[in-house]
Amino acid sequence: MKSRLMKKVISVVLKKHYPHLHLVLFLLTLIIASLVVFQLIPTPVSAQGVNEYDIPPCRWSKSPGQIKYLSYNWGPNLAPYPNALWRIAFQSSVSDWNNTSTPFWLYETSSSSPKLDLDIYWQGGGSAGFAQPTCSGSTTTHYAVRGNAVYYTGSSNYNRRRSVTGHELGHGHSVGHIDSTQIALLGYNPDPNVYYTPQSIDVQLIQQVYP
Amino acid sequence: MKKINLTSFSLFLLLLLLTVLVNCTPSTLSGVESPVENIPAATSDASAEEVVAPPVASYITANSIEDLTDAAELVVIGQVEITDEVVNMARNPDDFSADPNVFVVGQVYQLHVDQYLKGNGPETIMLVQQEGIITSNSNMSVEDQSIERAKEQSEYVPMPSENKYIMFLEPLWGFPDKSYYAAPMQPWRFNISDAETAKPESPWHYADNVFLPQSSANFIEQVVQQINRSN
Repeated sequence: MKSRLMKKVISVVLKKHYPHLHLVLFLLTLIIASLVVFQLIPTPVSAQGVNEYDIPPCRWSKSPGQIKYLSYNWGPNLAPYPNALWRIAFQSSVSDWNNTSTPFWLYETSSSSPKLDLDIYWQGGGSAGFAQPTCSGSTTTHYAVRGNAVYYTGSSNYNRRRSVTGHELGHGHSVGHIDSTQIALLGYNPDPNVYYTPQSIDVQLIQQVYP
Repeated sequence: MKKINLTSFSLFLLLLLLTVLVNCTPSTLSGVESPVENIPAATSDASAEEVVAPPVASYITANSIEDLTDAAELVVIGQVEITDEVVNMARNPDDFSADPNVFVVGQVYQLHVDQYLKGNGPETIMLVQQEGIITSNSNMSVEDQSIERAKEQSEYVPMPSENKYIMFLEPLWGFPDKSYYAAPMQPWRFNISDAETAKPESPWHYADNVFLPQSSANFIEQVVQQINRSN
């Protein structure tokens, strides 16, 4: 009885002061429903950001918003030669990456256990280099970064060499390759003599993986 | 009364939808959809045992038929006859001995050459294809098992003997005593078994975008024209 009376009172009050309440609620429901549907429908990956392939099985440990400091040192083929062309190319690429807005900072260390070790090797067959992570679970603990010194030798190939060191150092951020038609150091590079520094899509990929 | 019921129902529905919305935050959902976010930045240093993961190889790439014909010493049409031994493509530049720290799996193939489009040579030549990388710090001794594992982890494209290819080749660096040929860049070979399509075969994902599908005859004609222009 009391409850029925209460309902009656509420009904009268609402009707008097908020005559369109049911309409407002209906519209609000529609808006929220569309938001829910929007959230549940999968968005294509390309619309979300940069597509990556050759994805490494682990990533560097980094909290969102923080800068990750990565130490590097030289492997046995570069350590004794401070003026080696490939060492200079690696150093230029370190600056190139540090000058981007990626949340990483690469710095040289004399420690025997750096996060990255940079070196060269010699191999024919069209290979530019390789990068290899060491993982502890899903966390990257070390990266071996290698440039192939058979190609792009001599002073005239400075830019091309820097494109290789830049590319491999890019992998050193524990990311793979970029699948896009957009020019990238870590993806489609139509002219490594021209594009030897990180491009906007390279930075985008790293920012996407490491917010 | 009817309106009150409608209002109550709307309120209930609104609360229900809000609950669903809160539980379906973008981060939860996009982690499933995006390959990038499948492996997000690690948030803490794991204490699991350290494992050396397979390396990601990068290649010198061509952007035109001209790039390929210029880089190649030989341009041949042929097919695989025999799958031969495995060699270490990584060498010491001083004496061309095998690199002690890096083992680049080089699979040797004996090729039967039907036609030389650029250069000359015998009916059979030896080709070496990179099919994996083993590093010494991966704690793998270079045995057959390790080679097979490295091949499985690599993105190389196998060369079945039934396929006919047009191949762009250079002498393999680091083997002065052998007449080995190898790729100067990617994509170094095109499958022309199907007359309708000359298809680049390469671990380089973008090769299909640079070298668009065309008939094998048309592709060969373009290669020959380019070689003649360069001469």
